[in-house]
Amino acid sequence: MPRLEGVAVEHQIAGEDPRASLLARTLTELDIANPCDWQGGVSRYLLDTLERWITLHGSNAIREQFSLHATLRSNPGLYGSEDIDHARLYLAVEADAAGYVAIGPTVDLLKAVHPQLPVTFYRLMTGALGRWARAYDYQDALERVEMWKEWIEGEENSEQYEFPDVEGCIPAEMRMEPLDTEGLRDLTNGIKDGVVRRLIQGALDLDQVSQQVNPPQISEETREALMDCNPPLPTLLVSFRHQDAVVAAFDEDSQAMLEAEPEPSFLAEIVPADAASVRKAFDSLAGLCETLATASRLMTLLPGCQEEGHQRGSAH
Amino acid sequence: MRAPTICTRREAVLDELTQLIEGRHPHCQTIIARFLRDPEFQQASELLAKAIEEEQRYRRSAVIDLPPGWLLPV
Repeated sequence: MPRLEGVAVEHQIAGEDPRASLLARTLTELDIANPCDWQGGVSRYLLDTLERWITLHGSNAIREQFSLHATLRSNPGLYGSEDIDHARLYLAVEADAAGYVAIGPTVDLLKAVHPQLPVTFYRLMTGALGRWARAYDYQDALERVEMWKEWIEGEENSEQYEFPDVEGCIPAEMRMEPLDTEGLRDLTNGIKDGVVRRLIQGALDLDQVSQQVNPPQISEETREALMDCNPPLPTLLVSFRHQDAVVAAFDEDSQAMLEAEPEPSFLAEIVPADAASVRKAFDSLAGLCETLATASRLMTLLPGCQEEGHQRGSAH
Repeated sequence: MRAPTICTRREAVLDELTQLIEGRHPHCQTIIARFLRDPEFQQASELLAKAIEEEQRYRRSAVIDLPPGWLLPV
């Protein structure tokens, strides 16, 4: 074979995707990126911009309770090898581990004030968070146990299987109807207990913050690309007590959560040259961050949180 | 010398990014950057690599002079 003296046989390339340069320019035009961060490299500039944006929208509070990471990439999934759309980029947030809260002591505190208060508070908190990220709670655990029971139907010796008693760990007050917002505000006006008032106000604030911006809508094409993915990893696990049946169901369920690639917790499509598209994606990210930051601040107020919760560490 | 203001810095960054997007930036003028942007360059390199591979079947190893601007395909 002919040899070319002096020619390297391998070249390493660190190239910039043209979409990244377009996005960097649009972010600078929108004043989302700070030109002072520019050091000549597009990737570094985009990462600094993303970090700056997340910091601006509550990263310190988020880190207290949650573990997530954000990426800008050319595919909606983590492992896609071919771009499904050469004109798009994706802004994704994924959970590294689930935050954890045991809400039982809060239920005890609130039911002493009004029997419908625990379920009202619970629905406000998990509903607001659920608009943006997946929270695993007793309802997921109930569904999962139901599914496991269906799987063993008709099997010989099916009695040998034991399932977590999720039904048995749900406080009676959680089966009541929640108060509507007006009823909750009327009730709150008459509450003297400062801790309870702060909890209710925190839940109302969370509900409001979660609705300030709408989560991003994704296209059918992107939806199809994620068709074979598992559901997103939970951002938060909500049990009633430490090591109760909800936690047991979660532990069992989590064994299979990574058997297939999970969907991102948050995904926004970006057309890098389109200012409206970029603005919308970054506003949505701000909505997610502010919801998580407000949830995190609320979680630190929950009674018994330090003893009952926060002990699981990485829950996936 | 006065430090550039935020406004002039912003304009300078936008200008540099535009040069990158349009392929006018000095970073885009390296042979590898041109190779990455130019499908014809890539195709020509691929053809040449295949031709050299074919040669291997018929001829023994020989040293030839390096053509100007030569770049092996990646």
